[in-house]
Amino acid sequence: MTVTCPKCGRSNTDEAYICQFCDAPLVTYIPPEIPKEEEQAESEQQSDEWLENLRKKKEEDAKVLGEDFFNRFGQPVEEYEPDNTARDPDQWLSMLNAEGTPPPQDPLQREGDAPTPEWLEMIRARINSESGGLQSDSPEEGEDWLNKLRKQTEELKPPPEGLPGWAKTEAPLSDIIEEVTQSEEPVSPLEEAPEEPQPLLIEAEIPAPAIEPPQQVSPPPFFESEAELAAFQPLDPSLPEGVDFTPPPPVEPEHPIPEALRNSIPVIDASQFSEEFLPPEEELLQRQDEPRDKIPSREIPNWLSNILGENEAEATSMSAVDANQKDLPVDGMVQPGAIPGWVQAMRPTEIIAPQKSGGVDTDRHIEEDGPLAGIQGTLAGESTIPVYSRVKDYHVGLDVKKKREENISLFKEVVSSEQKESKVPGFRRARAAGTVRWVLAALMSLILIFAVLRGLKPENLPGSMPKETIQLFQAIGSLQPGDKVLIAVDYEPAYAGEIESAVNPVLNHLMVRQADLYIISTTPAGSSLAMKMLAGMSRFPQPAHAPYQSGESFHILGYLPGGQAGIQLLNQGPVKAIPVTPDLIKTSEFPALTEYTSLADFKALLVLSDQPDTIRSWLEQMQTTNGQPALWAVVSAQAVPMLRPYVRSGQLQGLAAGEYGGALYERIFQQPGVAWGQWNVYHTGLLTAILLVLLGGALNYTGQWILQSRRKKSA
Amino acid sequence: MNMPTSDIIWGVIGFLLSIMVFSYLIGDNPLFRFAIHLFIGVSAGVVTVIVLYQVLYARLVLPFINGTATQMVITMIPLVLAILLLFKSSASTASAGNISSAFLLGTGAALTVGGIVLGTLLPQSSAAILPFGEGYTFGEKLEAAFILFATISTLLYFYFGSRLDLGKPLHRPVWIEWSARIGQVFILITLGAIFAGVYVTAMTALTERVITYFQLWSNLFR
Repeated sequence: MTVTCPKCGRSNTDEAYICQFCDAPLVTYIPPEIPKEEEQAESEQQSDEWLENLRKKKEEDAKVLGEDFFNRFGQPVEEYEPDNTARDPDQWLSMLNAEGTPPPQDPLQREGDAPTPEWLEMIRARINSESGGLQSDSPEEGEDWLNKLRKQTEELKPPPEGLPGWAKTEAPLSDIIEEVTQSEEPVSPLEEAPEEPQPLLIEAEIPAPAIEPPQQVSPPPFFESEAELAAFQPLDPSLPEGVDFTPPPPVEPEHPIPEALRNSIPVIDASQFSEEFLPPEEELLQRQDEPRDKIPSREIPNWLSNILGENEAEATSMSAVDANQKDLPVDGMVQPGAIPGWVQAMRPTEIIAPQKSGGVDTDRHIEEDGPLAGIQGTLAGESTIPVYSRVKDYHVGLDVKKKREENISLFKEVVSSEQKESKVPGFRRARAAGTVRWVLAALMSLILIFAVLRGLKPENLPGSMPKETIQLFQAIGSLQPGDKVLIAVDYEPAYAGEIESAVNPVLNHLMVRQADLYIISTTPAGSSLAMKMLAGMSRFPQPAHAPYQSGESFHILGYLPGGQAGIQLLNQGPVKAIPVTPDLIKTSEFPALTEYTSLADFKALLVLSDQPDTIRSWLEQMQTTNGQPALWAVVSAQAVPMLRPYVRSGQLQGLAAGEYGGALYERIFQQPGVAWGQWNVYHTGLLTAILLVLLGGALNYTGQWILQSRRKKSA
Repeated sequence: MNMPTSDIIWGVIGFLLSIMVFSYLIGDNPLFRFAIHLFIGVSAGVVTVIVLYQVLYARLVLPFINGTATQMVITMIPLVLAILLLFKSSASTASAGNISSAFLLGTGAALTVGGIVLGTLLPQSSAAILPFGEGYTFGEKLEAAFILFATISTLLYFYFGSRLDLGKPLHRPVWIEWSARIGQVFILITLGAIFAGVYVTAMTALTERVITYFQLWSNLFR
């Protein structure tokens, strides 16, 4: 089945809404306003009679308009029986008619009985003012004014060919669309209010047709005189005569509506419109046909322009705008408007579809601008553009509880207290402390001077002999002439007096045994101390050995750097460990030393030290082969307690400690030396110091006891 | 006995310096500080000369003069490490010397640990156990037992583990507590012996100085 285009006369498919050749609309559709159930129930009772009269009026109009009207809008209403009764008020109206009293055959017969409605009075006044009145009480006369209206409509129609003036644009469409897109302000979906029909923004651009109040409505021009207007009285005040709410056919197609589309077209229910706000038919026709301000084609998207053509698109947009403007509320009511047929045909579902139950229709966005103006449910393009509002502030801090706060404050207090300099609890120094110190110093000096003056002959030498000293004496006594003995001088200069007094008899014994001595040191000052020590050997009271000459009987190799690492290096040989002497003589040039001389080639290693740790380093790092070299030590008296275990374990084969050890060794060797000459003074001073310590302790205890007893008495 | 003139001069200088040090009895004073600074300066000078002669010249210069190619290559290793260590003098370049420091610390730690284990712990443990074997007299065994008991009790003194019983404060086991008290006695004896050794050392030094200056003045005024 084909549909003939009313504009170009070509045939189109039945499902086409728009002519494929000229883009002219092929169908016309007026959306019905679906009343609410309560309002509809109330209106059903009130509109029984006037609806019946309306049906009668339609029949009369059909007779007047002839087949032309029905060719445009299909079959008469009585014959239309859609399935959905809710969409076809005529169906249930016919049912009501079947049950109720049939309407009067001639509605004009009741003309004098019913009072004239107010809106009709206004129409009458307008007609009188414009045209001087028309005779409409007969069908013939009605046909005459309708013909006039049709002529006027034909005159006001734009020429079919070419673009209308309002549809012409100077700028390219794409450029204009870009300008519109850039000028649009983004709207945040978060800020989007519940959608309600908003007043059209296009009102500022397109002047809305003046909606005159009912009092100012002039009577239609087809009333020639007041008499005709007075004679034209509606039969029923609730049923305005001559007003047809069916869409006017300005460019109606001359073929019937396709069957498929017709089923979806609801029939408007005129009962929902109040008669007070219904404009006269003439005004409606004028509104539809009067020239409108064109919408710039830049508001039309490309895709729609391509489909419809620029002129049609603009015309469509104007129709949509006009329809929305007619929907503007007037005194709280809504007036129907003319919407292009093809747009109406495209929106049946959204108009008829029932609203979602139990919820507010918040997603019904009504397009306010452009060719889709007035259509509800469209996706707002600007709504998709996000607007970034201020981000809600979140507290990211720790959720610190009270107990944790206390711990933190306590920790901070502890840390801060550590940084503060705390006062050391001082003690009150006794006034006599300085005096006592001087008295003790003088007393000690006098006693020592007295001991010196008494003579240097040793007296009261100890009768017992330490085991380790005897072992040292026996080990040295077993040396053969020419045996190499390595001597490590590792003591500080402050301990030279004690160490020299202890080592002198040992060195004397080694010289007696004609040992070949090689002197090294792990301290930088060791070489100087060694030379001083050997030089002092000449002051022996009774030297029992041949004079020892440097470079002949003893050799000072010098400084061995590296501490424990140096001792490890010494295991490879003295020449590798100490290549040059302090006199810049190569150690390899010494007669008894070669590059292959190892530490095991030495009979013994004699360590002179004032610290036990030095001896322990030698014990731990030195490597022995077949018991060579033997480790001997001459140390200060303060290092003896720490070295006893090594003597006991056999790691240290000989030990002489301090003045006491030197004196005992001289006694064994029967060669008096420095230790022997200092023994009396040393012994006297040591005895005096012990007595002073005891005396001081006794005085201190006695003083404390006296103070406590006085405090008890005073208390 | 006649003393050489040089010994007399150096003896007089030594006597004066000793008086300066003894002046610390009346408190810190310029003479004491002068003597201390003089000793420190002389020691530093001696150390510098010794290091220059016997370390830098002997170990870093001579191998490049008289050494073979192998010795030169080997000497390059400590030379580079020593140069890197010089960068430690500046905070901005201190990281360059970390390699040298790491080498020194690692070598020192390895030597110390190995020496303690092989040179002290094992020999001392063996010496504590051996007297309980054959070939030792009863007195030696008794002595070894006493030494072992003293060693264990001393070690138990440093046991700080505690036990928590209901109704009682934290405390160590009873036998550990008694052993620790005995060990504390041994510790006191050891510390007393060390203090006595220090005192004896000081008395020896004083005696040696008094006798030396007595002989000096005797020779001067003879």
